[in-house]
Amino acid sequence: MKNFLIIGLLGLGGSAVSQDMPLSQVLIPGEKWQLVVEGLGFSDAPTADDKGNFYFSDLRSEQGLYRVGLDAKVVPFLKDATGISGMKFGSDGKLYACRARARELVSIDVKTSKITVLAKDVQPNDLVVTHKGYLYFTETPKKQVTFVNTKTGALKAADIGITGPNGICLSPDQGTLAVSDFRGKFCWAFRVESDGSLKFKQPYMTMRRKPDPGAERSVLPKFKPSCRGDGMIADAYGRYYVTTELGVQYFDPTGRISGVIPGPAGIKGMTSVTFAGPKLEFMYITCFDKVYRMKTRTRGVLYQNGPRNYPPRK
Amino acid sequence: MKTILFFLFTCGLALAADYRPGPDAQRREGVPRGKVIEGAWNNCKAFPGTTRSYWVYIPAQYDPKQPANLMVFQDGGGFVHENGHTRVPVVFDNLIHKKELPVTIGLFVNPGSVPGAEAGNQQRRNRAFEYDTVSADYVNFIIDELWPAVAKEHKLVVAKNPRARAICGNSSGGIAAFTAAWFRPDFFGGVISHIGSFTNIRGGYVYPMLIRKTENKNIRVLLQEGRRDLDNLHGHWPLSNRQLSKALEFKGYEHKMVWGEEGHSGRHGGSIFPESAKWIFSAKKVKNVKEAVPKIPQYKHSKDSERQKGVPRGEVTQHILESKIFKGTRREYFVYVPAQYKPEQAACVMVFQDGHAYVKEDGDVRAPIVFDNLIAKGEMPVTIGVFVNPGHRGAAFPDNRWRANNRSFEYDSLGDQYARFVLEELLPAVSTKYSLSEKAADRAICGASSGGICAFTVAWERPDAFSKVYSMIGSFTNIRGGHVYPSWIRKTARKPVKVFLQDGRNDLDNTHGHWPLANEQMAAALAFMKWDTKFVYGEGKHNLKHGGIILPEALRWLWADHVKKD
Repeated sequence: MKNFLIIGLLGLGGSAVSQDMPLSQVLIPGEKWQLVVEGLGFSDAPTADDKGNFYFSDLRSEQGLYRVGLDAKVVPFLKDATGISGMKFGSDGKLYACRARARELVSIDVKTSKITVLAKDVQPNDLVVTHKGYLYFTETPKKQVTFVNTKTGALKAADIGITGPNGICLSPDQGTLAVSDFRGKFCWAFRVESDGSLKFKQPYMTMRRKPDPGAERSVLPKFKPSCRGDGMIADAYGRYYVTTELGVQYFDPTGRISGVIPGPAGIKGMTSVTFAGPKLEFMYITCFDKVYRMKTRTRGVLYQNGPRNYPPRK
Repeated sequence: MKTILFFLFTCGLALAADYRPGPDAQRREGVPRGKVIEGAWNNCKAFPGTTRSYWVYIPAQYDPKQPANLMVFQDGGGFVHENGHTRVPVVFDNLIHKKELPVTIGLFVNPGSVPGAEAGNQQRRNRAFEYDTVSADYVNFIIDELWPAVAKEHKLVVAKNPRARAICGNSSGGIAAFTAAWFRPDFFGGVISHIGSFTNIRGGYVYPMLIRKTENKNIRVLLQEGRRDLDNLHGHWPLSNRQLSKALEFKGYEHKMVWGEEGHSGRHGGSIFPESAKWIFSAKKVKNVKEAVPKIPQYKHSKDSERQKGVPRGEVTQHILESKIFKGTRREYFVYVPAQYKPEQAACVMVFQDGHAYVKEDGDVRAPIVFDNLIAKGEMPVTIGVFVNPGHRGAAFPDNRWRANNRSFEYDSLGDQYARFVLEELLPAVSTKYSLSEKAADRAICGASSGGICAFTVAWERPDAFSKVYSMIGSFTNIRGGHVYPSWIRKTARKPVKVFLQDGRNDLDNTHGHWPLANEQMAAALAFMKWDTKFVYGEGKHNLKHGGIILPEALRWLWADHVKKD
């Protein structure tokens, strides 16, 4: 009631309580993209462990996974974990991963490198795991988001219909799931229910797209139907990040686009984004043959550490 | 958060003009009170999962046999509150009693939110999605879902004439009001927007452009705005409201723009609300008053634009280029090579669009003379000028070179196609004879009008290739979508590009946009993102006179990083 009164007197409606999140809250003046590694086949599946070590996959390498420690050195990680296009650590310490070509969803014991198949004959692209062990993965060709309860193994379609579901992430409190559309202009939001099902689907975030000067002229300029929305991650403040052909785009928790951060000049494209580093302050992007990182003002969030209220208390 | 709000509140009071609810917003003895009934709307079809409160105000004088007027309010809780910024039930009671306002029903609707599924989960707030999106979804929710249910429950009948129904809101609620009438003028004929967010929260900056190129709708619009309103990542509120008002004026809409001195607050809109409510429902046709235009001064060239004795002259040659990127086009281009050029040292480059106008020694710009003078004085580096005309399809070039038939497509289009033409076709052609630097720091680009936005577009797309832009009377308007830049700039990581903008207050106001305001928006956006930028705003019209005489100033500023300081 107090809030209502103050807002009423101020006359701002809700705008005063929708915190603006300009680029100046994310970028540090003078900081640039730093090359982490080059000469890769096709990099993807960036993620971080609870110490902030960074991991990624080279889909066209016999090694598979690499680890970038806090010293920024790149070393091979695990054996035989090849063909991974998306992965996250679970709260049980296991690494959950999508193996698209092998058409399987797996969990990997990082101590023994033992790979356990969780689901076969699936078309997984990217995934996210909640602290409860609820796993959601995108099956891009099937236009489906699929739910797996990692504790029981139960598997079911959680959503059907997004034209190219690709990147997937959670809000810091793990109550909202977001999915990017590789073939469309939206990132979609869902409410995560207690039983793991997804409800109240909404085209909550509209991505910026490239202009399409060749399109037939109309009152307003035409844009390409999609900007190739790919990997997603949230930060501790509840911003949602998505890689696109225009760069990393981010949205505030109310779904308003708030920034576009182009990648370094000359890259072939970007597949995914995550936060890692000692304080989760580095934004890492996988860019086909290269991986870059940039120090930011913000902080990442690790789902394996449990739900977090946002924005974080200082 | 609460303390911040309180701080804002008190701080705002101390700084701002004294806007208070007036006599019509005070309770009077003997004035019959209408009923205010609160409701909750929790099974929303339009926005699944959302819950919200709403209130309906039914005047004491309401008679179900007489259809009443209707006014709908976004962020309804703030408007219905009797100690709030606008105090609508009190105002309506007083005005209806005095017969200064028709019997008017009020519907006050809060934005929706999706509550979390589990304790500790935050709600998904739907206000921006509902209010700031340029679509009919929100108004259709009001018209097809909420209002029919409210009308049925309370047995309310409203007049069929859309001019008897208005919609009102503050900030995002203000743009929501405009959007509602824009998409459903069959239902809402009046809009009252206070501090309206006609900015890029979710693309709402497009309205001035849409209005200019769309057949008029039968709506009456009141805009209230404060000179100290927001300038943030979403846009510049005062400029955006001015753009909207200018578009309405251009198209001859019935509209009124009321300026106040405050920032992003509902107090000024609230204090004038009784007048606004009467105006929006007034039966009289509203006439617009056009603003006076400033006088145009005589712009005179400085010595830097006149031939000086003893200054070595560069050489200008003329060429023809056929393009593959713009298939089937040919164009002339001129290459200016300074006397100081040495083949063993790669020269800086500056590319001018509509080159014919700049290369002339008796024109408004006289670039070769200015280059000769500034290079001789060491005020700019040894720079090769490439003066390129727009492409043309057909055997002969038009006598008026501004009328080359591929000009608008090449210059006004967004995207990287023209940048590719410059970097893959034009500069390589010049490089066959001359040694040109390929560093972004050594390359500048310039143009006027559509050539001006074109120059900016090249650097926007390829900041790794061009670091300096001079735009004169730039068409950052909706010829082909160039109005998007201020919105994009505010939400894109700053690019390492210096931008010098020139425009005049008497520049164009036509179906594509309002040039002076478009350039003000560019300057404000670049300043907000702390680009290295300079804006020279004169009184001129849509020509090269002012932009031409300040070319020396622009060049000195753009090339300052190449000049050795003693």
